[in-house]
Order: sequence, then structure tokens, then C-alpha cells
Amino acid sequence: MSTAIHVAELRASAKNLRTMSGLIAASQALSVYTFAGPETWVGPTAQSCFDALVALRRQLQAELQSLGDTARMLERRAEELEQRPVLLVPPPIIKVS
Amino acid sequence: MTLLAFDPARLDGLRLALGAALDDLDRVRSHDLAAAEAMRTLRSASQLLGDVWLPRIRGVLDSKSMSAPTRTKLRDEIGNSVPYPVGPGPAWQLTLDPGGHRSHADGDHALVAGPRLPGSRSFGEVVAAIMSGELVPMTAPLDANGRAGARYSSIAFAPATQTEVGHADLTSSALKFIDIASDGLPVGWRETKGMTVFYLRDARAISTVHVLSAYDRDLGPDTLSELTTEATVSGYLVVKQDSSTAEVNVQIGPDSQDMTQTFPIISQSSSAYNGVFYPDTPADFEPITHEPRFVGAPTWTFTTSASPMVDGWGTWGL
Repeated sequence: MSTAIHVAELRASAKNLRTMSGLIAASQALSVYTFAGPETWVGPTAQSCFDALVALRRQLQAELQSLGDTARMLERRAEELEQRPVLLVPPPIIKVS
Repeated sequence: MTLLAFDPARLDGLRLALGAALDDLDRVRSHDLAAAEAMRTLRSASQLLGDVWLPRIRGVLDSKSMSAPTRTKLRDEIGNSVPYPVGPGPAWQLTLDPGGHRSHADGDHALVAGPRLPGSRSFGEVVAAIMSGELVPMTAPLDANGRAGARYSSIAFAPATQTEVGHADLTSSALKFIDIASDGLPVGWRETKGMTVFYLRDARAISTVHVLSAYDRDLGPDTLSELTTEATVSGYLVVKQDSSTAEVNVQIGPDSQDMTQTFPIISQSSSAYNGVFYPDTPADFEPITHEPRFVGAPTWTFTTSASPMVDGWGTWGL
């Protein structure tokens, strides 16, 4: 695979991760716990639901962080590849006797 | 009997919000390998919302509530000392709590006192909370994936106090039979498997970074001390242990005696463990201080790299 194609793939992957991260960040799954508080219901099931939704928010926030880190890492790798000097391969030596 | 008090309008709002959240999560798609872990989390989140909480909430909304009690009656039912910022209003209804499988005293406590105290879950409750995703595991140690020279980490726990919450015997019937049969045989094999849940209170968690290279198994790998971090954590440690013993036995006394009366002349034991820690609150790791101080020795050490295992270390994961 040529370097240019590899760089393009890395950039596309990073863009894909950022798009995904944006969708998760905008999702109501992050804020749904606010509907499950004691102003809505009270009891063991209510408490379990609230705890589970808060835990879900934590998990999604961790994924957002991880997606952002991975996207940055892929972009850095793409930049490194772009800045790498191109190796010129010498032509093969043909002996003519 | 455990009761559940709810505001039908607000609970319906929660149902709609869960549906919207589920739709949002379903819209997120990626076939990128780098997004595989995130997609797994999203699938698990969708299952939690769609398969666990939406049906439960629909069940409560569809339940035949115990009439629509007056405010006074409702306060009498669940007590006047509800410590929530918003107490039950006039529109609230009561029903039997489908998740109220705890004792009466526990249920009443949960009804009026809010979140349970740290470390107060039973063995079954810890397992159920892990299965439902309510308990979130600590971030796994870094894995070198077998690449020489790559960095990996280990997490060690030195608890101030360690309480056993419960234990389950996971030894299969076949292994138990072999264990019993070994009593009367010249060569024996005993293997036991079990899962134990501990509650670690104010444990020192030390995250140490190593480089994958050759090392002495007894001494352990070299560490990059400047990258060592530590945190004080409390939470549940779930450990699966596997111990096995191979024996060569000789019978004691004359042949007429009990066949099971044997004495092991050679016995070789080995044991291994794997586990995961579920902190009460996310761990906040900070660089370790190099000042001289008294610290307890770690009781448990975990790594995910399979090859750089040291005697006494366990594998992260269940």
C-alpha cells in the first residue's frame, strides 16, 4: 500500500471516529438519567434505574474520551507518515558482459 | 412488601426519554476496527435501555396501582422523612416494587433513605449489578499484546480492610468426582474453582508500567518508576480462583484397612486467579510519591499481558 493511501485511510478513520463521537455526545443517552431522579419515582427499582443510567453516562463519557484519543493518535500518525522523507530506490544494476 | 412510589406523568416522560436515547444510540454505526470497543459499549447500552429498563418502566406504568392515594396517605405509606429534595406530590401513585426482592427492612431503607451504603451489597446483588452494567469496572491494565519492547501495566491492590462478601463454588461435578475418586487411588488429582467477591475499603491501587522483555519470574519485570501512579479506591473485587493438586499416594497399613487411608508421598500444587475491580467511584490515579513511608504490601496484582506473568500475579478479566 502506498504511503498516500495509508495516510488517507488514517485520516478517514479519524474522521469516522470523530463523527461517531459527535453522535454519542449529542445522544440523549448521556442525559436520560436526569429524568429518573426522585422527583419521578422512589423505591429500590427507581434507585437501581438511576444508578444504572448514571453508570451508563460514565461509560459513554469514557468512550468519548477514548474515541477522541484514538482519532488524535491516528491523525498524528498520518502527519508523521506525510513528513517522512520519500525513499528513492536506485535502479537495478544490470551487468552487460 | 416493598413499595414503589411514582409520578405517572414524569415516569411516562422517562419512558419517552429512554426511547429517544435508544433511537440516538441505534443511529451510531461504524465498521471501523478502531471503533469496535465503542460499538460494543453502545450495543450493551442499547440492551440495558431497551431490554431491561423500558420493559420495567412500562410494567410499572401498566401496573394496577394501589388507587391514587391522597398526599397524606402517600406520606403515611412511605414515611414523612423522605430526604429527597422533591417529595411525593399529589399525583403520585403507589405500586408493588417489581425489584423489591430485598428484605422488608432493606426495602424500607431503600425507599426512604436513597442510595445504599458502599459495601452493603450482597454477593447476588454484586453479580446482578455487574450483569446489568450498573457496576462499571476499573480501566483494564495496558496490554503489550506480546510485542517485545512494548509497554504494559499492572494494577496492584493493597487494601486497608478486605471483607469477603460471598463465595460461589464453580467446581464442576466431574472434577468433584475425580477429587473423591483420588482418595483411593495411587495417583490423585484435585482441582477446585471458585468465585469470591471482596469489598476493599480504602485500598491503595498502584498502576505500574513495565516493558515487555526477558526477566526473572520470581523477581518480576523491571518497572518504569517515573510512570507509576496510585489512587485510593473502595469497591468490589471479583476474583475467580483455580487451584489444583497432583498427588502420588501410598496406602497406609495392611490391605484389609480402609482403601481411602492413603498418605501423599509426592504432592505438587498450583494456583491461579483472575479478576476485575469495580470501584464505587472512578479511580483518580496520581503520580506516586517517592518519599519514604510505610505502605502495606499488595494483596492482589493483575495484568492483561499473558506472557509477562509473575508468580503471584493474576490476569485481569472474568
